[in-house]
Amino acid sequence: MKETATISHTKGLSDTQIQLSMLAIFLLGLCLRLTSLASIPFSAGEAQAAWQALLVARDLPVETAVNAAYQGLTASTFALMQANAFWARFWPAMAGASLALIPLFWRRRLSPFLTLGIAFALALDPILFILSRQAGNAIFVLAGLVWALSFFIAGKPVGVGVALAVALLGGPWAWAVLLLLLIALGIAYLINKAALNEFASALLNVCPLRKSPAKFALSFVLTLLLLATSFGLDPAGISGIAGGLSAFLQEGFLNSQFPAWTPIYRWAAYSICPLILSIVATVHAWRDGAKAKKALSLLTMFLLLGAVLFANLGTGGLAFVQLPIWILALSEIERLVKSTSDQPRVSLYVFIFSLVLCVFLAISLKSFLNAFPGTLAFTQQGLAFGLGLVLLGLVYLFTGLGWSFQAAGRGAALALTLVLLVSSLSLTLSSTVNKAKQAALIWSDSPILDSADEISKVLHEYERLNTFEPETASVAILDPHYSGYAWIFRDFGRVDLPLALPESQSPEIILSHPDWQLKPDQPYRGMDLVASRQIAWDTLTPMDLVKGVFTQTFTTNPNMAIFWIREDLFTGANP
Amino acid sequence: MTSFIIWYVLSLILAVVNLPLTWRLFKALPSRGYALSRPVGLLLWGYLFWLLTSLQLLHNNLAGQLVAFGLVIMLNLLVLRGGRAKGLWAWIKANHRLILTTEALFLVAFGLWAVVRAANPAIIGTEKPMEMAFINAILRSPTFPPNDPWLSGYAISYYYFGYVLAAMLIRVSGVDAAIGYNLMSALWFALTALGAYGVLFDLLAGNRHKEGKISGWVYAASLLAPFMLLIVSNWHGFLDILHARGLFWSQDAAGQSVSSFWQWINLKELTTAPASYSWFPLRLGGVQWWGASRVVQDFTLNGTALEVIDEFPFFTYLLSDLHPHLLAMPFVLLAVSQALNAIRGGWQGETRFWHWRLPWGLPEIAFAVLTLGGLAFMNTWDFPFYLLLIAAALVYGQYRSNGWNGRRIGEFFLLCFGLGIPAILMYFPFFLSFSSQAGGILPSLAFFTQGHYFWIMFGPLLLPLFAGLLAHFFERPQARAVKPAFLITLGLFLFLFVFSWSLAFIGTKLPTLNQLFLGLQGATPGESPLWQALLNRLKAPGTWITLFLLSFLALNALLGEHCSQAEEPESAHTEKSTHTFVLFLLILGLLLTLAPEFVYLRDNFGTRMNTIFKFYFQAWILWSLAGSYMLVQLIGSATKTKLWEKLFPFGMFLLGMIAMYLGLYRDDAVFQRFNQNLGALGSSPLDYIVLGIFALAMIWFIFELVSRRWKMALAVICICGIAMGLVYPVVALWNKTGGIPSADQLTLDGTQYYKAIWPDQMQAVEWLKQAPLGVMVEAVADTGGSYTTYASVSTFSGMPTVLGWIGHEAQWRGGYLEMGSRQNDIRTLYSTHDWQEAKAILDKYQIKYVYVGDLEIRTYALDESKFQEHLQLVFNSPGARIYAYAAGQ
Repeated sequence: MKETATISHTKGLSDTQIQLSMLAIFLLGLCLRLTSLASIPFSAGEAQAAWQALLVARDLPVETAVNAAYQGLTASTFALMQANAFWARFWPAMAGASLALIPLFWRRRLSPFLTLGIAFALALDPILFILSRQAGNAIFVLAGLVWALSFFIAGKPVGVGVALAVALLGGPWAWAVLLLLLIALGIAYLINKAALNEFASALLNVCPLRKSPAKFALSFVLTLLLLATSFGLDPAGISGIAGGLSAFLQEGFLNSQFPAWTPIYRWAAYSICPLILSIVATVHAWRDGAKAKKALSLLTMFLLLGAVLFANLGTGGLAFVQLPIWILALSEIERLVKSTSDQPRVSLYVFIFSLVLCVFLAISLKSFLNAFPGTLAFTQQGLAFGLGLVLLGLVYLFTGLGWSFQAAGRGAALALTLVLLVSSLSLTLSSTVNKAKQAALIWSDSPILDSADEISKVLHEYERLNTFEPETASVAILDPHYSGYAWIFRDFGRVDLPLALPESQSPEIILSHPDWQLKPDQPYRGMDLVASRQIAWDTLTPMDLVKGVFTQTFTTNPNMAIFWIREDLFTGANP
Repeated sequence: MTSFIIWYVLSLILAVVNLPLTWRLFKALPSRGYALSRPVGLLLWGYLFWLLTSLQLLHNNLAGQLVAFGLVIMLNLLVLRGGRAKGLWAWIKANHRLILTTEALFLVAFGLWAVVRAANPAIIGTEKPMEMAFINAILRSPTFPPNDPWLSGYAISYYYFGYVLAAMLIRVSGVDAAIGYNLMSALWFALTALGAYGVLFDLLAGNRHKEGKISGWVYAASLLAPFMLLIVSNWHGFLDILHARGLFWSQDAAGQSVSSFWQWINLKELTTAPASYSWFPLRLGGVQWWGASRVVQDFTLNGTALEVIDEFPFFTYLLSDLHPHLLAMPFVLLAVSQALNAIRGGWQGETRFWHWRLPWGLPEIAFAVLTLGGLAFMNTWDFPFYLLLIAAALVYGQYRSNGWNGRRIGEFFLLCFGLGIPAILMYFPFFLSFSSQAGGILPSLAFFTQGHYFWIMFGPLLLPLFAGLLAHFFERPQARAVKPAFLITLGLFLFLFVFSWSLAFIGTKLPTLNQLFLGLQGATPGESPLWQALLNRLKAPGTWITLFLLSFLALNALLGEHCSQAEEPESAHTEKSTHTFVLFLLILGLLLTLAPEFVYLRDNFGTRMNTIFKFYFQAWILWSLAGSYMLVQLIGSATKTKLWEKLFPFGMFLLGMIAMYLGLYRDDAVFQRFNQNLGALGSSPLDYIVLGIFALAMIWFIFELVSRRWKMALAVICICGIAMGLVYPVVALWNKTGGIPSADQLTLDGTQYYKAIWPDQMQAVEWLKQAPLGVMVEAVADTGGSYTTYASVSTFSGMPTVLGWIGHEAQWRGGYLEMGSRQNDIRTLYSTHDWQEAKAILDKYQIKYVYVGDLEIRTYALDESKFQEHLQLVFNSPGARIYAYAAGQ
């Protein structure tokens, strides 16, 4: 520890510079997260979570929150501000962005490169980025746990209490991670009891909770109560303290609705950069016997396994893998950057040449995958890609034979790393594009409500052309599968989810299953629409999956519905 | 099997989590209450969950339950502060034998009864549907008080805490409610076994320490308590096989079978001769296992027989209606253990309330209040009994410290109020929504228990009690208090007699009560009912004499025990407090059997049916504990038996097993040869085997008398009495489960029967389980529907129906007021052709789901077209349909 601290002071930036840099990274991460936050379509699960928060803000009865941290923060925000898509996703975005500040606590134990690198990775990693832009995801658990660990190391009992409470209220993944940790400890105990005891006693010695347990307990309990009750808006929300545990017990051990490989695939497709680098780092760690990195690589594997085992709890579990994997990847990059070349100039040339070739390869690969197999374009692009690969190999080979393999390898590796980092960043940035559906489709656990915009437009037209006033109108959603649309219709006077149409009342709008039949005396006009959409994971071929890694587009299954409007509203023009 | 394992693990978690608190609370008991850690945990968890949900601070769902469980864990962690964790760990290490024995008993009892339930799991008949309905309604209700499943718009008006506990276990284990129902019975059986074991262990271990270690004999002897409580039954089963074998019957001149013995015994179904003789009851038209719960009969003054319920634990568990008296059993034993802990000084401490200083610790007081209130909420009848027991135990402690004077009586009453009122207040939200059917006390003028009924009912327990008391009386002449014991007993009887007859006298004189009261007693006009009733009692004084003797002997032992003022060592103190406690149990049981001889609680039935049922049941619990202690003492204090003497009980056991095998074996020549169409006694080899058991018992008894080991002779009589009480479990279990089913026939699913008979209805139930909560409507039987399959859709779905079993609703609410015109309205709803009329009814009761199935078609002149035309068909199968209706808002 002392050694690394010395490095940071002698070779790296000053402490103030590091702090300022991290603040800048945090702000960058936050700003990017808040960009087009409201325009990305809601998934059914997100809409449900946001709707529950809105019900709390409106003092209406709600079910027990699965993610009480989200519900508590969002409901109170809705009560203070406006209930809209931006505020519905604001707190997850904040929690995700806050991860970039975590390395502040570790900076004395890490090199400046790693400190800033981890901050950058946590701020802009595509998986963390996308998940933190979804309402009601596992991001509170990750943020809470990592903050709690950081406060623990820093000896701040109040911080530990608050962060741990946030993590506990962040949904079922908190309990899954707890279970995984217990299993990991059990395995560690069986493998090396003495080392574990030593570790435990060392941990107890630095434990800030021993010195002031009351502070910890008070902050923990207060945070639990405040968040679970949405700062007093919903006293019965106390049940939400165990909402995550309840969901974990009820759903965690069930088979996922998606094929078992989907979590790994999604994760690999969005983590190519850290995945490749961490594999190299792991190989080096096991070869060199670096204990910390070995442990980190095992932890990564364990968390990945957990994400697959508890896949039914959603994609959120993959977020937990990102922290250790980025630490491994960045340590490898640091090793690469810091390694000295015997011929720096040759390395530089190889780096530049490889970079150009990598860019060419990336472009030709995308064209190759987009072309139809058997066509001329397909053959041409395939040939171009193959030639590019051969050329890259030849550059490495000839440079190695002519000058030095070490210099050639360093230059090529750095170029490849840079391209991978850029590809990672591009995934992050592409998900901020206005109304970007693909990232939402890939990373949502429930169907995307992608007719919300269409419905809004139609209603807006009716409002403009007719006598229709949403504030006084009522909506009946007759199919429980589309209950998420309650959030979309949140500005209406009344939203009900009945099983049958009210006998003595005719709501202005009805959303029903296509099979639902109108009675002859019910005066409505209907419009077919795709109510929600979900990637058809079951039907994708291996080729689709390979393509999907680069194109990020997949075949989807539409869920149809009928959107009914009462006939008497057709007093003016029909849009 | 998976469900069983889940429940076992769940109960184990409860035991482990709550061990610190139990260990802390029962500090004067050798077992530290280990056997009670499960009930302690359940009570605390259930209370916190119920209270916080009633106060709208928690939701009635799994998350709410887990939050409450988190609080229980925190409480237990708090208990471990201040170095107690090390103390607890040391205790666990030192008492691993107790822990293993207790856990083994639990597993065996739980497994045994799960198999019994799996052999006859159907939730049908008697009141099982009612209990299933309560459990499902609690599972579906968003908050507490829970919805009444059979009267929409109202909360359950019943002591429903036990059902909350059942619903909690079902929900947290994730098993289906119909499976959970049967597991609940098995779990409670095991918890009761454990509780009884714990009580006897603590009674015996207190006296039998050897150099700080508990003798190994105590671990085995303590098994007698769960055996006596849960397995030993009344003598109806024994009489049943005598009757089946054709004993005491003779032919009259007309060739008719006559028997003065069976006429005198006058037990239902046993007054006529069996069609053919066998050692296994095979009479047609009766349910053999049922008769034992109807031993006692009351007769009005004009001789009309009235039904009285006299359940005992084995019958209760065999029937497995999850009735409050069953659900309260583990908590009754918890209260008994708290009283034992109190009498042993485990409550010592100091608690200050304003300027009062109480010599007891606050945790003990608080937990006793929690337990007593829980009993009031679980089975209200039990509340006063165990309040008295705990108060008496505490006053005894005061007497030990400060001697006897008039203040002790004042303290006793103060304690009754001081514990009773907070106990009620702790569960106040329940009492706000509870309307009892109890309508005061009535004098039991004509109704009394005839002596032979009393002995058939309690014989297996009365024998050890009398044996123990007689042994004390003759063995310790210096510890007699004959005169005060006699006077107090006489005074008690006279007081009750005068009180009862005075009430009756007033009843006959008040014009408003006269007709009702005399009508209930069946008085003949023109005759004095008071005099007539007294004469009837004097003609059959058996119960009075039995109870008088028991009271006299018990009071003699109690008062005599404390005559000596000499200084005594600590061990003698412990032994004395143990004996006193056992006598307290005996006397409380005595009061519970004596009181209904003179008064009873007025309910919808107007008879002693429920009073006898609830009082005798508690008496059985108390006497089985006291009796098993006395029997163990009797056998334990007898001089050492030689090995060959043990051949007597072994021989009896062996012959009993052979007789059981031959008696129960059915399917081939063995049965025909040994046990079918038997002739006179002696015509079958089985007769000789049975007589051999009797002969061995007689020889053993005579041998002990000749050897002047009269205590052992008394024990032999007791063992014979118990053996007679074991006939019923064998016969009834076989009868109820239909023999030993094969493994593939075993299932814990209580709806299996329904699924086979009404598959469409059960599919509709499944649909309703997933549907949003709302009022449903289904057919109501013209006769009220009690004990039938009416209302089964709401029963199994948990949806509140407009009206279910009418008679039961009336019992729970003390009348028909709340039901109003519901029965007619439902008839109109189904049968009217006028949609507007139907719609008005749908709106009136805010009905969301209309169920149409087999019973609706059979019960009403159904017009379904209006539903088809105006309502949304949301579930459709050939035999069942559900229509959804949304009223305009």
